[in-house]
Amino acid sequence: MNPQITNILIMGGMMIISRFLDFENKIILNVVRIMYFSSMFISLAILQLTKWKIQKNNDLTVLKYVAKDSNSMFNLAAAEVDPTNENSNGERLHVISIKDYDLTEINSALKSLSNNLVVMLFMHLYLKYSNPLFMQCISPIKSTLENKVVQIILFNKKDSGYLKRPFKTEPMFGGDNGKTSGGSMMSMMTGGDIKTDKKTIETYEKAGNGGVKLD
Amino acid sequence: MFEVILDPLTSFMEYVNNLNAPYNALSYEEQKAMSIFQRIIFYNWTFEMYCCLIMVGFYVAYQYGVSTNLSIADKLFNSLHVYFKNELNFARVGLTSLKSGSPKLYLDQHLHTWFTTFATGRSAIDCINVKVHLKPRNNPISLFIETFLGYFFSAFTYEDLEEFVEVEIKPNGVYVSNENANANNNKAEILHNFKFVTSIVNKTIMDKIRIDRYFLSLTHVTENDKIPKEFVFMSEVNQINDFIYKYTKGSFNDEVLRKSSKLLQFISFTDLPDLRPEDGKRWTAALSPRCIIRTKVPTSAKELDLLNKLIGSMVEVYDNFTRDLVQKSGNAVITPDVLKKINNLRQGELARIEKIASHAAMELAKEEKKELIKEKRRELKKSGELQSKELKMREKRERRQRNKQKQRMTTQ
Repeated sequence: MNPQITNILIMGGMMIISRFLDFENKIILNVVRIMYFSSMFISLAILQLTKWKIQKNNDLTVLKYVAKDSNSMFNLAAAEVDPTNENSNGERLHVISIKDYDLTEINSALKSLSNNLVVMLFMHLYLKYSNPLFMQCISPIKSTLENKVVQIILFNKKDSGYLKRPFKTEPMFGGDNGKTSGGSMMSMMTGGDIKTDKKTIETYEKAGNGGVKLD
Repeated sequence: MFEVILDPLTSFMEYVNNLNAPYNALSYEEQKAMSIFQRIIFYNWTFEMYCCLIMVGFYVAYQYGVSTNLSIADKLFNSLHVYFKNELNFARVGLTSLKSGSPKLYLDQHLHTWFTTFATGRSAIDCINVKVHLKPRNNPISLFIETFLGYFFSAFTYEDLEEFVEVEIKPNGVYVSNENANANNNKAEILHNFKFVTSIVNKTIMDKIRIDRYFLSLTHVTENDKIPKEFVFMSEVNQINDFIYKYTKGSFNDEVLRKSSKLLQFISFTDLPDLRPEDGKRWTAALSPRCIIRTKVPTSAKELDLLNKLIGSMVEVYDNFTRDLVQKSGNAVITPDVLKKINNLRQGELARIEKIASHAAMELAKEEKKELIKEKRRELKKSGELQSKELKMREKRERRQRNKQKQRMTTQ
């Protein structure tokens, strides 16, 4: 099942269970706190271990793919570069080593983990909510273990199929990830597909869309 | 929402005020009865003490930042100046700046964050410019805020946090084999052969550098067993990937490139601009053959030596390439055929730039025309002419409608 759907189901289940918990009871509250922080710590440890293994493997094979840039400034620049080219759509060629690609993925997972921690601390310490702590006990470990880089590096899974780099964003309700014109709404929302065919790469490789200075 | 910020601030201000509540509670007469010394002792100076400590902290941080940056720059430029003068035999090395009385051979700008030096007067090389950028260590608060913002919002990443050394070597197309030899007088013709882009780029920076530098975004990325696995070739055509290797010593790969995999970001021989030209005229004006070496800031003696060797190797490339061109030796990598192929590729790119420029000019003209019509209409409205004009038009429309109706009636 899609991880996003299972996340929603888990959250729903935890929400129902949390209604039966008495957070006024100090023991229950402390147990929930320990559960949450243990979950964060385990996730952090897994990600750091993966990071260390990536550094150790030092796989410098070059990966080339065409995708929309996550940096919105580049999208603006790309639109400015060639307004006559309707196909550009802010897409550009990404040239990155497998090591850097994996590290970027792990760093973004670490960032989302730290964002989660900051939000939870604010909600628990300042707004005095305890339910979110309980609801977030499973999700960090689950998403860390489902992370594609963790699966390849730590669990030695083969990087083929859905684990083939560059990773494609899986649409929430199935679909074809925008491969056909009728791609799902979610795939469109997550930035469309990633192109790895030789022809597209060659076209974008010498596109000359670097060095654009935004006014 | 504001309570989140204001509440702690108000309670802090209250705490600060309460520190001196006993002193403030004293009446005028009681204060008058006390001597200055007694008043000083009675007053609670905790808040003032913390303020002074913070100020001293800022001063110490500023001084530490400045001295660290200056010591890095001094070490780097001393090493470079000695190498330029003694090993590469440049006639003039460094800039004479007499800032604050101490003579320095480099320029120090923007609160000790940008440093520049220069060398000129040598066969095959017009000049070498060295630019160094260091973090603003004298301002730890801005450094912290920028790093913090950069971590959570990558779009806010401020490029000035990067530290780098950028060396630009410009060729002059003149080759002199020894002190008594005559210089060739066809330097323009020789420089005509420097119109190509070939680079060796570190894999850790290759994606970002292709966004930053226009000339690299026109190149083909190739992995090759010849270079260390930490680097890739980026050249306009694959035939010129060998250019750097052909004109350097055989030991360049093992002794210099392999050892500098953590220091070197890229080496590029190019004549195209760093920023994308907006039209053909700017393209032509920005053409300037040069070699760019960009590295991290070297700090250890080993890294300083590596940087010197990298610069030396690239000067050697210009020496040997210029010699080959002047002496018209037949084994040059850059042949007329290769140059023709590159030129054809560039013509395509130039046509694209011109197309975009004309599109932009057309858009601008349309905007201007629209604005002109709006302005004209505004003026007519102001003078009252618009109303009479509109009235006339309405009458005309009504008359036409009446005529049409009449015509229909008669035909029926």
